[in-house]
Order: sequence, then structure tokens, then C-alpha cells
Amino acid sequence: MFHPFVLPFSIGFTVMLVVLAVRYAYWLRGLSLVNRKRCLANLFSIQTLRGVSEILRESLLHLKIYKTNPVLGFMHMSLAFGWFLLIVGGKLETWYYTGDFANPIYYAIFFRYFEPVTSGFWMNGVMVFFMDFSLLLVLTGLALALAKRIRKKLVGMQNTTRHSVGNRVALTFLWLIFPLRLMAESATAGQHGGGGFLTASFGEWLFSGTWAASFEVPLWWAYSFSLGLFFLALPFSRYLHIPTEMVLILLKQWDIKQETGFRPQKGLQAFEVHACSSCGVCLDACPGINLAHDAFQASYFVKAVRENREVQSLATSCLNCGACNSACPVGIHLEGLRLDCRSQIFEQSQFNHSYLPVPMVLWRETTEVILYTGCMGRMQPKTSIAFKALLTEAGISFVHIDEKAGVCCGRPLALAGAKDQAVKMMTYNRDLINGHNGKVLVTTCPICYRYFSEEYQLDIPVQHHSQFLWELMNKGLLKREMQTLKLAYHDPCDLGRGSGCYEPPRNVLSAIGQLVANQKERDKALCCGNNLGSLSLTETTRQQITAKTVEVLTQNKPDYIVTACPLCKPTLSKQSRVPVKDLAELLLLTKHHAKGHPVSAQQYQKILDS
Amino acid sequence: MTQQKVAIIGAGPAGLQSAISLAEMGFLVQLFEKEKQPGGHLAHWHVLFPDRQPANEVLDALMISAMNPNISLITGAEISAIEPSGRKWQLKKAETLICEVDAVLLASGFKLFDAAQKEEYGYGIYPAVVTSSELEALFMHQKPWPFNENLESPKIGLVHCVGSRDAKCGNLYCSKVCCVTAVKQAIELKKTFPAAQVYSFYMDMRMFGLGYEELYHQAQMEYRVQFIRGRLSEASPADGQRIQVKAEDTLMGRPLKLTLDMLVLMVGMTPSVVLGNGSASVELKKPMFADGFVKMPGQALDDSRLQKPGLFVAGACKGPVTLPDVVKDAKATALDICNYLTEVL
Repeated sequence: MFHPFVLPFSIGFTVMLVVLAVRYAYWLRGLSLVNRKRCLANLFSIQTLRGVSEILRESLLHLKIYKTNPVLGFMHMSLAFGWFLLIVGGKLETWYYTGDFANPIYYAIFFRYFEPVTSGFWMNGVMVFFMDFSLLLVLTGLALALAKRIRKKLVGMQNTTRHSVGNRVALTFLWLIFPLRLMAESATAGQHGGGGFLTASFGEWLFSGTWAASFEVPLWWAYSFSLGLFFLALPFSRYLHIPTEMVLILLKQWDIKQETGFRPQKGLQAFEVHACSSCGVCLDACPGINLAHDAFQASYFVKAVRENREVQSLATSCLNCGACNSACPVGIHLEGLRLDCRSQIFEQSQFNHSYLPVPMVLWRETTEVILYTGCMGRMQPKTSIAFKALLTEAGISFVHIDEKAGVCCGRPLALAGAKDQAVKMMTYNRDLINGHNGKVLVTTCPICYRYFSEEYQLDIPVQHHSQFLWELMNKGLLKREMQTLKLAYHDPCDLGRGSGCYEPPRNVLSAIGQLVANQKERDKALCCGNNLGSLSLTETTRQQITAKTVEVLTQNKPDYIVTACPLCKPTLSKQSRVPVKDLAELLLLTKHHAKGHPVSAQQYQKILDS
Repeated sequence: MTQQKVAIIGAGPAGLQSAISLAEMGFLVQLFEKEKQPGGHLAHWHVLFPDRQPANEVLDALMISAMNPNISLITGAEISAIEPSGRKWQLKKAETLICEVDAVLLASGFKLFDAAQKEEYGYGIYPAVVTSSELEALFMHQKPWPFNENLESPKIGLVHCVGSRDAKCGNLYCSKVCCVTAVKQAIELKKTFPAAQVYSFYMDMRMFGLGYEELYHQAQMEYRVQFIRGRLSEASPADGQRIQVKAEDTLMGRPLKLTLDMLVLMVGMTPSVVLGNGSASVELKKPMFADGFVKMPGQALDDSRLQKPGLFVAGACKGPVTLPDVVKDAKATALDICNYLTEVL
């Protein structure tokens, strides 16, 4: 069974396999020793099975994309899963009819040319139907993809990725494959009979005349060429993401850890940047979309890294709010990748923290709470005053360790790529914290909270003040009555997406007023515009982001915008007509009315002004 | 022929001076002031730079000239819109018609920057933090000093550019008068408390007017005021009611900490109204973040006329300006209005 038209496909496919094997072997060799050991240790374990199941869910069915955007999810699913069914079905078909599993790959691909009419028991009907159904599924996805190119809003997207010429060529071959397969199979069915509900009817309609006989073989040639050229282009285009995503899923299941430094040419980072499909889901999630001069969104950043282009401005503009990170259906560590990239840029920066004193411990004071307000907290004294008043009200002893003197928690330095300087801050703060005998470290700053929880490895638990206040309310140490207040809550990036703390602040607010919803909440919350993460975004762009965020927060006309971050609060407050308060400030305000009747927003303003 | 009428919104120096000039030219002037008293910010000032002339002297002179039968002053009147009616203009408060006139002059001046927006400086939280405007009230003994007056050598800090040249506050412009005001106030402080240590935290010293540079030298040489180049980063409470400030001395290249008995914030000028441009009428609205001063289309050769015939603007509502310049602008605008009204006839 052979015809010369199988050659383009066979050559393209073989070249692809060889290139992929070489590239993956090189990347795998670039993994750190620890990570390579993990791969080997987990290769024959339940983790591999879990990986396979995840590949099925994400690479074929695209369930995560489906959850964020059902139409887009269906498009990816019908293309990927449909094609997968065609391949599996084709193999089963050849196996069933020849009784031989080990036939050449091309035989399954071009089976209908070699065996136009098949017969058999009921199984034959199922097979024929199944193959045509799979083809129809792919063609449906293709139609949606075409529609997306013409009008992105049809698939519910505001922004789609702009592709380079090379990628568009590969895309054209990909899109040609399935219509050509339909035509070729239909031509064979029209001439020789056979075919399913799709190919048989198409064949009868278009290719049943004798004149059509000369079309049959050229159509199969065209089909084979489009397949071959697509496979040839795959390892050198964004379609490399298809096989790479599968490998990445396995690597993650094998518990591969983030590697330090910026080395996108090998190791885990190589797999990550090549697993990005440029699907564009991160674009709509980005609070800075269409505002900044640079299109710095994750999709473009990863693309620039992949193409080995200049990425400095793309890496430093980003606010690091984490919105793309949590939206990414492939689960690429976008935040980490950018930070690694920054460490390269800032390697030569001259930081000098030699003036830092060494804290001396003469006496370890015992206290319930060690309060750390951080450097941003120092800029928002109202929050610190309010929180301390609440602690006093609840009868909790505390020591405010950075009231007189303190240094940064280190995260801003880490965000700027100066990890070694951050370590200096950590050492100082760790000594300061250990100088007190406290039960819990509470901070009013989400940036500090995230860094303390993730990096410090302290002996005592770390809490954000929203969590601690909710505990106090739960224990009945802080009593509040319901007020007639409409409150909009703004999720700070480092508290929400960064630390997964969504409920405690909402619980506190729900106990004193009515929480009003808006369209961008929790993991989809917009950045206030002033995240420390950005090193180069202009003030104007930041203020445009803030304006957008304020607009979303005030959608349902709240009396107050409430947040829990010393950076979000002043940023939103400067641009909002609705007053902006920290959670602790609002909770303190309601104290005066604990036993009284509910008070209106105007009355609250009077208390505040006095 | 009936006398032509001009309405002026705002009875600060710009409004008063243009009212005087127009009245002397024979026009009937209706002068509207939203506060209970005329005089604008001048009414709350102690002495003026660079000659330390008492502010009430200047205001009194203006008020005496304004006692002209052609001027009627209406205080406690806030105007919300100006609407055309034929060739005339109607002033409205909400929907109520206040008056109908042949020309309108907007002289609504400026608003002081709300220092509470910069929470890091502690205004409204710590009593020892005051604004430059409140310091004038302290000089006039309208309020008690926020520290023990018997202190032998109180330490006082002045912070320049609060709300000016600050992109984060949406105000990129320089408020022009605060540098020299700070120099003047530093000298006044030293006169009140001769042993005081006065520190002035500045970005640049913008001594553009005649006599300003001399005053700056006097402050340094004669009064020993210390000028430190660097922006304040934060103010926090120290013992008692004192304030600890952190700043960077950018000339020395090192961070510094100081404990002060009083911190004065040199608050900048911000727009008091923005003009909403409806189809025909002009609304006077409360400014939002980063809304600028009233923009004049004529620029260099004509900066008093709005694009609608019969509407004029004078004084600080066009941007930060010193008092002598306000007075000159008011006189020039009065002449423009006179020419317009003569042409209309």
C-alpha cells in the first residue's frame, strides 16, 4: 500500500519528530540536577498517570479555557480533541480492517484513499460515522477560529494576540488541512463509493461526475502537502506549544521546581515559554491592556523571550499584579518568569544598604501580637492607628516593632530583581521579630504579608490584619452591629491573587454593611495601578489604570470603597469621589454605633471629619 | 441708554480689582462671593512677600475703592451655571435665575491643595502638622501654637511643594508662590521665636520675582534658616506631640531624621472650578483628579476671553499667580470687558 503523495506528509512528520526530540533532549538536559532527579524518581508513579489525565483535560479538552470563555474553549476543544479523535479513530480503523496494528503511520492518515469502501458488521457503520463526526467537529472549530480572526468579539474576546508572518503561514497550512481532507475523502467517495454522512454526501454532490476523477489524486497530494508543511513549520512556530504543553504538564506533575536565574533557552523555562499558545486569555485579564505605550502583556513578553528579542521594557513595565498568572490556562509561571528576567537586568545595580544597623536583643518582651506595618504602612498612619485601637478594644496586647525604626520587608527589592538585597532586609527583620516573644506576626500590608509567608520561614504564624480582625470578630472580642452601608471591596493583588486571601476581609465587611458586587472581583480583580511591581510604567498610564479600577468599583454606587492595602488605599483615594478606607478604619468607625441604630453614610463622614 | 451690567464671580483680589476698574469706567457691577466675607485667601493672610506688607492693608485699600455706587457685592452666593439668553448672559444657582448681565467675569481664584491627601505627612492626624495657610492664622494669634510657646528653641520644619510638582497627586505644575512664601514664613517664625531652629525642605528654590532672591539670602545669612534640598518621605509621631520626619539630604547624599515641634506643609494651588462645556451654557463644576485650571484659548496676546463672546476670566483660576500679577491681570481684563461692551453697542 503506497502512493507517492504520502511522501510530503511522511517527510514533514519525521522531520518534526526528530527536531522535537533534539530540542526536548537539550531542554531536559538544562534542568537542574535536583529537577532531573525528581523526573526520574516520579517517572513510574501515579504522578505520570495524573499527568496523562491532565493532558487529556487541558491539552485536548481545554477545560480551563472553557471555564473562562465557553466559546473559545469549544473552539480549542473541537480543533484539538477532534483531531485527536481522527488520529485515534484512524489507527483503530486500520487495525480493525487489516488486523495489523503495526502498519505505517501514513496508512491511517490516507486510509480512505487506499480503502474507499469498507464493509463489515455493525462496527463498520460506527467507524465510518465516527470518522466523519470527528472531521465535522474539527471543521466546526475551524469555522469558529475563522470567525475569531474576522471578529474577535464573536468569541467573547476584547483583545487577541497579533501574530508574526511565520506563524500566520503555519496557521494557513493548519487551516487548509481539514477542508482538504474533506475534499480528498469526498472525491474518493464520489468516485469509488463508501464514505460517511459527510464525505459520501459531499462526494455525491461535488465529485460524482467522470470529470471529477482527475481531481481525486491532486486533492490527496494537496492534503498531504498541507499536513507535511504544517508539521515542518510546527517546531519553528507557536504551534510548538501543542506538544510542549503536554511535556510541561508532565514535568509539573513530577514536581519540578522553579529554577533560579533567567535561562529561557533551556530547562523548565524553555518548556514554559514554548508552551504558551499565545491564546490571548491573559490580554483581557491585564488591567493595563491598551493603556501603556508598550504592549507588555504576558503573551507578548513570552513571545519576545521565545524569539530572543529585547525584553527589558516588557519585563519592567508590568505591574506584577498576577492577573495574567491566574488567568493563564496553561499555568505558566508568568510572574516568576518576569522576575527572573529582571534579576538579569538589575544585576549591575548599585544598591547600598551597608548603613543597616544590627538590632540588639536585651530583653524579649512577651506579647500576643507582633505588629509590623511596613514602609508603606508608615505612609498610611490612619490605618495603623485604627488597627491598634481595635487591638486595644479587643484587649489584645501588641508590640509595634517597626514603629520607630524599620526597614523594608524585601519584596519591593525582590520585585526589582535585587534578591540579594532583599535577603539583607530579611535578615534584619527576622532578628527584629525574633527579638520579641510574640504568638503571631500581624501586618497591615499585603506586600509584607506575602513576603513574610512565602520567604521568611518564621517560627510564628503570619497573618494579614484582615484575617486577624475576622478572628477577633469570630471570637466575639470585637462586636459590631449591621449598618446601612453599601461597601465595595477592592482585592489587593498581593493579598488576593498573591496569597489567596479573599474571604476574611469580605467576612469582616459583611458583618458591618452590605457588600456590593462588581464585575472584576477576587482573582479577576483589577490592579489599583500603583503596584510596586512596575519599574517603568509612566504615572499617566498608572493613573489610567486607577481610573478604570475606580470606575469598576463604583459601579453599584457604594458609600465606601474599602481595601486592605497601604498602597491601594491612597492610590484609589486620590482619584475616587467615593471615599476610600482601609478595612480597619471602617471597623473602628462603626465602633461608636455598636449599640445604636444604623447610621447613614453622611453621618459616618461627620464622625470621620470630627 | 441704560447702563451695561457685568457680573463678576468671586470677590477675591481679582474680582475686587476688576470690579473697581469696571465701576470707574461707568459699568454696573454685580460682584458675587460664595463665602460670607469678600477678600478670598488674602483675608486670611498675615503679611505679604517680599516686603512683608500687612495683607489687611492691601485688602482694606481694595475694599475702600470697592465702595462705589456702581458695585453691588452679594456674599454667600454660589453660582453653578452661566447661560446665554440672546446677547446677554444669565447667572444661575441650580435652576434659579440670579441675574441677567451683558458680560461675565470669572474670578473664582484657587483652592488650597488638600494636605490630608498626603497621609504620609500626617496632616489632620497629628496636631503639630499645619498648612502654610494655618501658619498665617497662627501669626495673627487666631489659634494657639501647636507646641509650648515657652520652649527656648522650638524646631520647625517647612515642606515645599505639597501637592505641587507631584505627578502622584495629578498636579505637575509649580504653584509659583510657595517657595518665596516659605522663605517669608521662615523669617516670620524666626522673628516670633528668635531661638527657633527652622528647616526648609525644598526641591528647587524658585526665586523669580524682584526682591525674592534678596529675601532668600536674608533668610540664610541674617536669620540662619537651614535650607535642605530633599523631599520629605514621611512624618511620624515622636514623644509628646512632636513629629519625627524622614528625608534625604540630596546635596549630602544621605538620609536624615529630625524631630520637630511643628511641621508646616506649603500647600499648593489647585483649581477651584472647572468649566463644563454644555452646548450653550457653561457649568461651574467641582474639579476632579488632575483637572487643570481654566484653559485660555487666546494664549500670549489674549488671555482673558473664553471662546464664547462676553465671557472673561481673570486671576488665579487660570493658574498659579502672585498677588501683584493678579491685580494687573484684573485691570487688563476690565479694559478687555470695556472694549467688548463698547463694540456690542
